[in-house]
Amino acid sequence: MNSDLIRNFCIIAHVDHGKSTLADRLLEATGAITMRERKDQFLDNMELERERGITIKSQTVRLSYKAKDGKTYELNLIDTPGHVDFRYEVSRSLAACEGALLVVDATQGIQAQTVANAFEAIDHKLVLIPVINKIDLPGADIDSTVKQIEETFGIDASHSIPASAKTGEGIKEILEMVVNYLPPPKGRKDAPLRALLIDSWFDSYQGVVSLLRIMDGKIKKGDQVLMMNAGKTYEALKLGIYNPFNVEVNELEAGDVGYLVAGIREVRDTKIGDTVTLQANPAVAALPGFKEIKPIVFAGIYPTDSAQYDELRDALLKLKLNDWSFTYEPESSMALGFGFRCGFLGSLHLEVIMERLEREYNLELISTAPTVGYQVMTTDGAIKTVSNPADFPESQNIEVIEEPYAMVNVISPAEYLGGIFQLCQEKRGEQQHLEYLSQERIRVTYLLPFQELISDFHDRLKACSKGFASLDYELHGYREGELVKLNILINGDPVDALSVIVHRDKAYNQGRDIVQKLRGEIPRQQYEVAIQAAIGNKPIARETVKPLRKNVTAKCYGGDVTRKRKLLEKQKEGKKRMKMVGTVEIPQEAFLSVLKVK
Amino acid sequence: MTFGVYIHIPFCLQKCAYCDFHSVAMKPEDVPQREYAEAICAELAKLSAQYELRGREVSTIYFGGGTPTLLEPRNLGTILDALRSTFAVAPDAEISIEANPETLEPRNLGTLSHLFTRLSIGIQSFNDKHLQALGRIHSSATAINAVKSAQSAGFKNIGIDIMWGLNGQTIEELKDDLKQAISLNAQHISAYQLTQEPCAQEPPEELARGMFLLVHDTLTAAGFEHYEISNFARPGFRCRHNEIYWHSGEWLGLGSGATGSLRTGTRNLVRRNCSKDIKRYLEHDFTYETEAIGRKSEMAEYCFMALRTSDGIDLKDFKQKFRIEFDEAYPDLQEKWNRAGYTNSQTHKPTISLNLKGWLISDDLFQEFV
Ligand SMILES: Nc1nc2c(ncn2[C@@H]2O[C@H](COP(=O)(O)OP(=O)(O)OP(=O)(O)O)[C@@H](O)[C@H]2O)c(=O)[nH]1
Ligand code: SF4
Ligand SMILES: [Mg+2]
Repeated sequence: MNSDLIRNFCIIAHVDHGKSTLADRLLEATGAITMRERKDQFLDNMELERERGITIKSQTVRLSYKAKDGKTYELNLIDTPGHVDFRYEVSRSLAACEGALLVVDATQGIQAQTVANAFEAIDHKLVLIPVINKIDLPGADIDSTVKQIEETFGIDASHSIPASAKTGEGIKEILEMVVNYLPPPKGRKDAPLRALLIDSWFDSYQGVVSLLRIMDGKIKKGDQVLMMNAGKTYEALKLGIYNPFNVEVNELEAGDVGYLVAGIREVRDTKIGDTVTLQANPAVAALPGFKEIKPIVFAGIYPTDSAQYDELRDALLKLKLNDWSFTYEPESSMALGFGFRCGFLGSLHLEVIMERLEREYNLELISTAPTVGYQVMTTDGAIKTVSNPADFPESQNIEVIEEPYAMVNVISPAEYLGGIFQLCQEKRGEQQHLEYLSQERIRVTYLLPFQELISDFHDRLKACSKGFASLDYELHGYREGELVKLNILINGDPVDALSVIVHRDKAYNQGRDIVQKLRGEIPRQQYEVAIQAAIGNKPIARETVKPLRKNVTAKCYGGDVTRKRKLLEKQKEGKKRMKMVGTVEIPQEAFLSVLKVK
Repeated sequence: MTFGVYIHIPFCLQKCAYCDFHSVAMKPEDVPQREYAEAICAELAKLSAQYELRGREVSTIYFGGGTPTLLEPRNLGTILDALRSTFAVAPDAEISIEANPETLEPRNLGTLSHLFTRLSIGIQSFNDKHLQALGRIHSSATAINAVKSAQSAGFKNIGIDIMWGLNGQTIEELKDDLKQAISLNAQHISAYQLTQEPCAQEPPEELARGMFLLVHDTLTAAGFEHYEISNFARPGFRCRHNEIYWHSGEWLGLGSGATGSLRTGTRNLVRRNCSKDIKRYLEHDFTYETEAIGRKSEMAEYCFMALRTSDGIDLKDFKQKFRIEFDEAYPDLQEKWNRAGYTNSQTHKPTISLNLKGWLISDDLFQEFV
């Protein structure tokens, strides 16, 4: 195909501004899906995506569009996720495109992810088409949204298209604008093959499927291909495109986005961002690669029933086949038994993985309090990264602790500024920048410890701004911090799974909070249970659960025996889900209540 | 092993607010007197043939309800006659009937005292305010009169039921109830905490615990033996029928809603619940829900039921029955409970029994068996 007739673009926006719904309309308008096949957010095909109404993975689809100029264009559309945890999905999608639809909800205006994604698109030199979405809603303000875009990004937004992904208004205009305003891919077809590996996933029939954006040259079925960074060669067994159903083709050429099946067994052999070239005629240099994605948030994941450990391990292995962004390694905990220490891109990512494991693999899991990775230098001069409070050296052996920081951008109506300042201050933030986007809207930037961010920052931000403030952040180096390990002891036994790393100034409050929560959750037992919070050996808070005084069934005769036995069985079943710490039975809820502590 | 018969009479004059027994409210003249008695006889014929029970020695018979005294003595007699011609009813058999005070009149008490050896009267409280809140139709005066009339009619073995932990009941009120109960010179007192929904607003735990202990102290001081969590008897007057339940014996259940527990030919324990559909029962359409009790469950039931009694588990009997030592079946349990102080010290026989401390949290302890 003539690459002048190709357009590669992605849809970017803040969470819930309507990217996937807009993609639905584009699919329908180009006849890619018929009315019979249609369903809301068609491209969100993971069960979890559908249920939560969020996009987690980028999805690519090829549309065929007959434009007003009479020519038929090939449009490669990538729908991206809006949530900050899945930013890397957006980054690699941007690298494969020449343009982007910047969708902004006309009732909400520019939000933090709009800014983050738009600036990244501008960095990648993408041409932007602003789409002012949801104009069917009563609160839609098209003019002010356009103005916000111009002021914030310093671009001319006069070509913005007012649209409604719900009613279909503006869809035709968007398609025409894509064809007329976005540049075609520039690659040279006669140059040696250079294809960017955008994504790869595991398919149980074909092995690893890799999504490629062909930058230069062409690839044919049967070619021997070389992964330039991984240094491995494979045979191109199958090539194809998604339209949005899978169609096999014999070749892909510069400008195309399509998939490659090459008999690769493991996703880990396909590095996202790698360059694919031909072994017979390799490119001189690889395309500029992506930075490796590294997990930021860590948590222990344990089966509630220790018999499910093997199943959990298999499930993690399988999940990992398709999601390279999380990591895991075995760990064990006195309170929770055998499980895995896992690394994630953010708290939502943690939630998503937990949910997928539970749902797709039928597991019952418990996770420990999420924590970041700390750099700890001990008094003997050794430095190590610690992402598990249980592995933390005792205070007296620590020389210096450094914690990761995030650069946080908050966009909000100006009237909530006071509350936001207060929140950021409480979370140990340092203000970097404050800017009025318009008279009523501000954008404020804070440097904030990452640990503070992953606790309840987001919820609190929403609460103090009536839901109007939005948030974006990026990892921003490490700084020394006054951190201590808060131990939780039950009848004198430390419970490793409950220990947390906190700032010294907050240790007392948090310790009190935790022991109070535990007191509420630990059922009374035959003995008194003492719950303590301590820094090192020094107790800072204590609560007790009074012993059980009376629990006896009044009547039990011949007709009651079966019922009584079944009741006992049920109660026992409930206790099985409890973990023994010494002689104390602690229910899962108790762990969970602490894990959710602020 | 002793064998008992339980007969359920599912009729009451009025439904009490807390009641979860199988019974329907009915005017006395509407009670299907003869029909129900005949249905019981038919069921007896059917089951005794099916399980080859004919001629078996019966040591206890218990008429429960509902309000069994709503059946006229004539019809109760019909049932007893049928039982006597089916089984070898022991000469010293305990034959009990439950009654509500309002149904006991000198007129029928004479006959009843010839038919039954034991009378169990549901008094519940001597406080009219509480009686009313419970939805009982009798007053405390009626109750006291009923007991006295029964005594003069010749009943030598009378049990009374009282309840504690009633909504808003104070310790003083309970003390008063206990005093009155003792003064009636009954041979047996069942004292239950009211727990049935929706009436029960459980008293705070400490109060309930205090009440349980008060009941124990008061009644044992008055010469009663606390022989089961909620049951007290003067020496020699335990309810032998209920002891069959607590020591996992066999009994035949008759009547709509009755439960029975029998060993079938293969020695498996089978529990059968007769349908609560009275209409079908009257048409001699007997349907059951049966439950085969597996070995592990049977062992569990054996233990937790026995531990409700002061006799506790007879370890020799346990071994004989389940062909395994108790300590092997439940390793370390005795030791653990001894150390925690939940058990009585051994008597002359090898047994395990719970003391008051153990009884008070017995539902927690019993989970060890399931
Ligand atoms: N009224 C109205 N609702 C819309 C419109 N576009 C999208 N929505 C609704 O907005 C919600 C979010 O839409 P999505 O398409 O899932 O948003 P998204 O941007 O893909 O969300 P993420 O992938 O989670 O970032 C859904 O409930 C849509 O039905 C629109 O034009 N008008
Ligand atoms: S008298 Fe007994 S069986 Fe009848 S309704 Fe009252 S509590 Fe229930
Ligand atoms: Mg989406």
